[in-house]
Formats: sequence, structure tokens, C-alpha cells
Amino acid sequence: MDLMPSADGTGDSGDVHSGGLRDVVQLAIPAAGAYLVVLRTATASLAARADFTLDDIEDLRIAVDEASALLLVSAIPGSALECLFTLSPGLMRVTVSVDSLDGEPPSKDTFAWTVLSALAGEVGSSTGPGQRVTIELTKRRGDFGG
Amino acid sequence: MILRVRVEVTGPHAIVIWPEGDVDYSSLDPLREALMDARMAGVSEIVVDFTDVGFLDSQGLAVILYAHRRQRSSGGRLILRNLNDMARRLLHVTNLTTVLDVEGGVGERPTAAAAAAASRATRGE
Repeated sequence: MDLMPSADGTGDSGDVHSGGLRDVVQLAIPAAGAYLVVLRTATASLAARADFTLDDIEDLRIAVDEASALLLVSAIPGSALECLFTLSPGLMRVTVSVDSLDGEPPSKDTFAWTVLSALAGEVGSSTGPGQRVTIELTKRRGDFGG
Repeated sequence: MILRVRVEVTGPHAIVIWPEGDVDYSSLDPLREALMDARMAGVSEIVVDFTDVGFLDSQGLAVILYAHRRQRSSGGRLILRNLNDMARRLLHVTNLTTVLDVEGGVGERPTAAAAAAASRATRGE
């Protein structure tokens, strides 16, 4: 597991977002279902650190799990699933990406996507470069999931 | 995370399935197999007890929903028992509260705010 907290909320690298500073945490895990629990734990921990409510934390934990599971289905065996958490005041953006076998975005007609969309405020997917597939979700503090 | 599944026979055509751990993308097989075994054995009433389940996602819910439909189609039942707040929340989000049988009912959507209010009421605040 590669945990790289990037404290770019201080010094010259500080980004201003919505009037506040922004922290970025990057987590890379093997693209295997057994590591989803690590991602869920990290998500809950970061959301709690960002003062999200218990409801928001639970929503985020499920949403990141759903997004990751959607990507794992077509991930290249032995590759890494990368997760980028961007924490701003009152907002968390999570980007999950893998190198996939087919380079196709996840289907939006699935049960998992429905759950993901219901729990995260904004959800989208993108492809490239190459076979890279990415799901990005954004959760604002106090969003009503569902 | 490894999911353990215990099965208890409670009657001639009734069993209780106890998953222990997180039910997610990586751990579906033991639960799916237990439900399939029950189906093959002609069990008419299956209870899935969530006392020891810490996490449930849409993949786990889909397995349960599939088993529920199979039970219904053969005149049997699948009942969910001891759902934690997280699982009940998932049922609300997916609008499955009126589809799946939940022992004691699924209740209102659990929220942290409601839990805090209940706690304050208990303390007499």
C-alpha cells in the first residue's frame, strides 16, 4: 500500500478552494477486492477528519466501495487501483482509477451505479489515457444521500 | 476480508444464515453458496441474520435480492434479521424497504441526527 499524504494546504503549494485550503491524499492499493476494506477505512477516516457528519461518512464509505468495485470488475490483474482524495472545507472529492482490460467506462445501468449516484452528490466517469478508467465523485457536507 | 457464514437449521424447512464480516465485492461467494445450498435443499424459510455483518454493499444486496426472488417464486420466504443502521440505510437508498422482508420492519431511514436526538431525549435534555 502506498500512502502519500500531500499536505499541500500549507506553504507555496497551498491551493485555495471555496475560500479554504485543500489537502490531497493519494492511496494506491492492489486492484483486488480483498483490499476494499482498506479503502473504506481510509475513506471514513478522512471524512471524519474533514468534519463530515456520521451520515456523510457512511455515505462516502459505501460510495467509494461501490465505485471501486465497479472498476475492479475489469481491472488488469496485478495492477493498482489508485484513489485520490481531495479535501476542501465542506467538500470531499474522490477520484478512483484503474488500468482496465477494455478501457470502457462502467455501465450506468447497474445497481451499483444507482447506489453510487444516490449516495454521492455528483458522480461521473471518464476514460484515458490508454486503458485508464476513472470514476470521480463529490460529496458536500450535509448532502442528503438518496 | 474473509466472510464466514454459519448455517443453523431451525426447522424441517427453515434455516438461519449468519454471515460474519463484511459482505462486499470480494466476499460474496460464501453467502451466495449458502443461499444456493438452501435453495437446492428445498428450504422454504431462510432467515439471514446480520448481527455480525459490519458492511454491506450493492453487490451483497444483489445476492440477497436474487435469493429473495427465487424464494418468492417457489412459495418460500427470505427474511432479513438484525439489520444494522448501515444496512437499513442501504435499503432506503435503493428503495428496497418494501420489497425485502425485514423482521420487525425496516423503520425510518436511520440518520445520525435522529440518533443524536434520541440520545439527548434519553438523557432528558
